[in-house]
Amino acid sequence: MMKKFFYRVVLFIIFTFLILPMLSMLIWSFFSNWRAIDILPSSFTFAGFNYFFASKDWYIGIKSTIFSMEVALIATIISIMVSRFLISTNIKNKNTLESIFYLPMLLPVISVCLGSHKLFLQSPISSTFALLILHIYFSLPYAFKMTYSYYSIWGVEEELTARGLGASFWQAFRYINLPIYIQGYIGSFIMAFIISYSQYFINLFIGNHNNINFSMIMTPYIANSNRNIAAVYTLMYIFYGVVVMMLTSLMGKNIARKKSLS
Amino acid sequence: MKKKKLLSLVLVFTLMISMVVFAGCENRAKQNQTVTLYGWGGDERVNAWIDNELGKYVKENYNITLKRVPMNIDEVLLKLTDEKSSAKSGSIDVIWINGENFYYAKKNNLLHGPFLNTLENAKKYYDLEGASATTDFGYATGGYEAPWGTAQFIFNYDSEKVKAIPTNAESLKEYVINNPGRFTYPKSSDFSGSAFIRTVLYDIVGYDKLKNLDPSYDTVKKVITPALEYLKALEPYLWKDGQVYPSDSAQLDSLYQDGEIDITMAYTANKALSMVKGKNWPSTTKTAVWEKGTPFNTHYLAISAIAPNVEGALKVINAALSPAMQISKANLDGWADLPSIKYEKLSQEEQGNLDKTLTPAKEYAPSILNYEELSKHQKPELKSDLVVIIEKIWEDVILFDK
Amino acid sequence: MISNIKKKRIQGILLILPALSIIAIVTLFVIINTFIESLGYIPELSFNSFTLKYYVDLFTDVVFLKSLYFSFKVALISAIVATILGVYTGYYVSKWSDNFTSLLYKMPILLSYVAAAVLIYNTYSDKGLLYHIISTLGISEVKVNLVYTDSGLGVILLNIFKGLPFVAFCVAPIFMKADETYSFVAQNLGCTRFQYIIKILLPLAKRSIVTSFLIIFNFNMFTYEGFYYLGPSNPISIGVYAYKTYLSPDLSNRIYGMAINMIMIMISIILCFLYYKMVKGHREGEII
Repeated sequence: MMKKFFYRVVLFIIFTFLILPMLSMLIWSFFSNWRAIDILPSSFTFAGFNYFFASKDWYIGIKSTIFSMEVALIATIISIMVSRFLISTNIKNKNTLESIFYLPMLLPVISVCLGSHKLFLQSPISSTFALLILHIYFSLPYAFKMTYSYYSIWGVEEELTARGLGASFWQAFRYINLPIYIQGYIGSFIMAFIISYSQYFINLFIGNHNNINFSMIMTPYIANSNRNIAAVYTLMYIFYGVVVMMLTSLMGKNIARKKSLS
Repeated sequence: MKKKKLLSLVLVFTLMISMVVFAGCENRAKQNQTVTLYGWGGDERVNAWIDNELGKYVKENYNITLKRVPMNIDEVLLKLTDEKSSAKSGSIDVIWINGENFYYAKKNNLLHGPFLNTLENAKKYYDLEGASATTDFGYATGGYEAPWGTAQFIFNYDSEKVKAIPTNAESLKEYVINNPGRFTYPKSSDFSGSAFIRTVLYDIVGYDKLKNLDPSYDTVKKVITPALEYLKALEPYLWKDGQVYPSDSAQLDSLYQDGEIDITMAYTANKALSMVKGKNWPSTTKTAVWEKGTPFNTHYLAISAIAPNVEGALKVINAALSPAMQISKANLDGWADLPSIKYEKLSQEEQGNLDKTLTPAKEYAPSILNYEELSKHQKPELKSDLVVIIEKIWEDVILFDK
Repeated sequence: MISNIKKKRIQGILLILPALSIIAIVTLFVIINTFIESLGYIPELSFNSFTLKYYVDLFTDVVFLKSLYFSFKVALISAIVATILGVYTGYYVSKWSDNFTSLLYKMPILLSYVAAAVLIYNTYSDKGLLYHIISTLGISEVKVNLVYTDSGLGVILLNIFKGLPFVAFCVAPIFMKADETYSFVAQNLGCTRFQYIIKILLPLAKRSIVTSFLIIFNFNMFTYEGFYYLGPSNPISIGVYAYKTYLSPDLSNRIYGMAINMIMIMISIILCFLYYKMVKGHREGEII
């Protein structure tokens, strides 16, 4: 009995630790001052929100979110392709090949940007496309990790069986693969989205004035001393992200349910 | 049935990719009408002014779309250096710059110019031979940048906690000993921290002894040794016993806002007014300068050497120098940046407008110093390579205890 | 008439081509470019000679070595704590299907590092949220002194704040999967809950746990944003050190930056290699 209580307490402490900073963000979004001597913050204000919606920043946030969703979609599709290949081959250096796809996780973002800037400048690729490539570069390992772990558990045997019984590739994929794997695909989409959405340095350095990112706009404000504005921007940033995550989760649950019923 | 599904999937895919790729291409048509402005984006009042006032002005008068990109100046220069070395058309038009960064940019041929004396408003309203148009941190601008506004280094303090604000090094030392842990200053790598160190230098060593120093590490170190000893003596009485220095003025402001320290400092002379108005700072906040003078400088607009739209950039800068924009910029409710335009060259009406915008509302007047008071305690900046060496010496001696 | 095997092979290559090309090309270019620049050869900026001088300078600079050690120490502590607590949290998260909590714990991952750093500062700084909560609870005269300390505690908190949910997110699906398959069987055979966790769940998820640990350790060691805002002034971290060299007005400092980058890449590759060695023998019956 004591043991269970102890475990619950530890869990409670962990969650409090995670939530406290969020709480501080929520509080500071609505107040502009909180002196050390006061218990409660003073001066309730909507100034931060006014500024956020009056400037074009809320719209840039939406564009940013859509861009990251595109990146996540491409990263997920590519990682599905790679996972399917790896799961059905038996070449000698499978492990090495697999670890190649984890490489971007090891390189610091700044090194990659500074190092590849020259490559992109000298080629005819537009900066938006270069940006897309780099975002995919960093999101891919995370998406791949999630997808591959699902493929290693479930494999493609059932699909192959269905193909053997006469189903086409797409039929097998839609009716057999999707219902089982959809949670994994959604998970890897969300992971890729998160990584791309939080990228700041890439847009700063490689992108041009058409690729202004929410992170890029947000960072100078949060580095400055106006806590109200900083908190509002962080809140809206998380809000956009959460909306995307909830929508995709719901969609995933819907597909899984529909398929298993039909 | 299957073929249709496959086709639709491929179509969606191509659509997505093309959407992204063409997003880059489509804007090329608009490029003649777009001018980008790269500069620090941390102050929402500055950003609001640039977007709403300057942007609107150039759209109405020149049909130019001004795109502001928030980026720190050192990152801008890093990007520019890389872009220039690959000899492709760049993405940066106008740069908000001054001081060491301008020196670096000019030295490495990153700027377009000279252009200052081709601008209509510059010839009409500015003293093109004067100090701010011709020198930036001790070095010749050569017409490669246009003076946009001015700034003076000031101290903000809570007059309730600090009964007598120190206005020279001696009284600061007294204050710090009597109030241990209530004062600190940012690291030398920060603009404001560096300015504080220079203020101390102006007081202890004197501007005249410093202004023509040979920029070599050892010479400078020898001359500024008394000031270094002073700063070292201050250390144990500083916030956190001087073990940690705030990494920039924003952190210093946070400490002030939280009530951990009672004195903060910045290059924005009218900051206290908007902070008190927005209830971010206590209403008893006041502004002060040091007797022997605090650094006073100008900040500029320059054009990148590989700017895609040089004509547009020139028009935008011309607009920023116009009386209408200078007056609107000085508005105490907005940016409140001190103008760089020559007062005497303005018409009667314009002078009246400028005076009006620079006069604070009665209730907030005590928090800032008026312009006359400020100008009595102004000192020009030192040469930028000297500044860089002083910063490094502070780091080595005070921070790393070398 | 392409034979079936050949067709499969072509299909296979097409499958991995996009991913492989993006990753291989960018990675190779970056590593080669960084290596060449770190040797002092940047023709565009007129540095035209190859030299090891910069590496030698770095390794004999006490400040650099202290930064390296400091970054390593902070990264190790925060990665270990984050992994242990993350696995703990992941286990419980896998048991709940509550939508709200499962969304809540993922939020720190959503934030960029800078945003998270500022939130941590607002909460744990000397007069931040924690201080207000403590003083409201009536515990007076408590001094909160967590951020800005010499040990880099602020950065450790930040790394745990971001790393814990990440580890939880990675291991939760594994636990969920394993639970479905094994929990009933284990209970039937007489395992206690505790034994079940230690002897069955953990080894099954071992690979994922170790991978996550390496990822966050690597990230923590080389990032600069966290240290910039929350770290002490002395010593500074490697990431900050490198970042300062890129932005310094003296162009030759850029080469130091590239040399530091090369060292960071080397360390990462060594870590990856160690991981590979460790995992090589354990493929039987493992859930990845």
